[in-house]
Amino acid sequence: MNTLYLIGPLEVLKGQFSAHDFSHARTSLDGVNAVIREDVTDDLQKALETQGVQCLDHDDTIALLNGTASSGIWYAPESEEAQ
Amino acid sequence: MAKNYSNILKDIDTIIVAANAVNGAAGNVDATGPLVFPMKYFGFLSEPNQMKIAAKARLIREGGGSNLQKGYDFKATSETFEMLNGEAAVVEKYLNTNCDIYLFGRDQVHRIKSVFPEVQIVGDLGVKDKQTVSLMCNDFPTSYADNLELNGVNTTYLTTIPQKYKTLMESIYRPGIVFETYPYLGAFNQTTKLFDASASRVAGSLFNTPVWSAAPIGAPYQILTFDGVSMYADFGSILNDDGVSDLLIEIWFKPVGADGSTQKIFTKKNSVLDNTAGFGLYRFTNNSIRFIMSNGTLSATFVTASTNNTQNIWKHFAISIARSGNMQGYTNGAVDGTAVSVASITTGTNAYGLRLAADQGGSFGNVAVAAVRVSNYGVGGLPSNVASIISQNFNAERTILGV
Repeated sequence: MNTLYLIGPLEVLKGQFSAHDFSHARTSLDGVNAVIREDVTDDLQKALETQGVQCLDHDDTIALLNGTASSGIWYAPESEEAQ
Repeated sequence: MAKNYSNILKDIDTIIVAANAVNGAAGNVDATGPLVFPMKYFGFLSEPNQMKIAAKARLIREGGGSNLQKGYDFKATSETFEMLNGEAAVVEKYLNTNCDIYLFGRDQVHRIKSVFPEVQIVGDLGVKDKQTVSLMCNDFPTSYADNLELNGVNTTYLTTIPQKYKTLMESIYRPGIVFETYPYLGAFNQTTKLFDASASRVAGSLFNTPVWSAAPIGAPYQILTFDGVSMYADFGSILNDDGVSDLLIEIWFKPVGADGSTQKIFTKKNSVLDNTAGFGLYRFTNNSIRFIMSNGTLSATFVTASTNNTQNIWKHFAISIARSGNMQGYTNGAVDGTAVSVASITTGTNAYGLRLAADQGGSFGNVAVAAVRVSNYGVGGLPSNVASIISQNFNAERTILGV
């Protein structure tokens, strides 16, 4: 059992983790994808990955969601003009 | 009028601590109402009728709320608390009881022992069987940790820690405080709530399970860590910048995320990197600390000269804001950077929540937070000795964070 960040389609995650409180889960700006932190077995991880869910550790999750490539996708585009 | 608490307590066998409303809201102690911590009113009671009197007094002051919890002796820490609906039920339950001193709230019941708050007695309810029944109020700013104890915590904690808290809070400059939350005082058995201990008494929400752990000084002092992915605290839309009131914001934090990354720390803003109305504090990519105030079209940003706000280093950052003049930042009690004018920035009012470790734009902070304090001094009211105040507050708390 590993505790991982699961990043993928919100509906897939809701279907698999019905007990999870998604009301304040972080979602992509379009609301299609979400990230939650859950315990998963190796088999479940493989099953999730076949449904488009990435199962990542903390550092990789930070790199994926907070990196510049996620601007406009996972967080509002940020302008340094205000600096 | 000051009174000798030991005299008041003499021969009193039952003390009921009534709950308070959050922001004075009505319906304060029912199951669906707002949280009720820290206390605001309590009465000294020696038998059920007096409890009823106190309950009425509380209802009159707060305009609502009729449910109280029954408190238990915490010798059996696994006991749950029973909700009592209505004064009649409360009176019935307390008939022939001989309980200790209790603080009542929807999610918490705390027993007070040995340490008593700096309260103002707002009126005696009367004398019953030669026992004074007093209604007390701690309306003026005080910390919930001044006088409270936790359910199930060991005896050492019960008898000594509140004293430490009390001493600590007395060393903080308190005039003007409108918001203060102290993760370093501990979780108070909460996993989804974080309390504002100021007179405003807002109950914030913790989302996606931020992690409590021991502060550098050791238990029971704690810190609250946010993962930078989805964890945050939200206190609702409070502390709007009205564009004219002078402010002082202080925060104890440490970046946990990698150096060279932007980390959101304390915001009431869509993004701290645009001109949307509001304010926000963050660690920037060059490891400086920045504070932005925006009115929707214009922004002013204070930038620390220091760029050593790096991973796992605790810092006390404070920013004084003379709303018709300049804002000036301080790190660990000393000036850090060049003052920036905010005179042209009109009100930053918005509907966003006041947040720790996130903004409203989907950006988060991998940071730990130990305390946040906001003071509002009104128009032109920033104390001339604000630098001394900041230094005083920094020195009062620094040992907790090992600084």
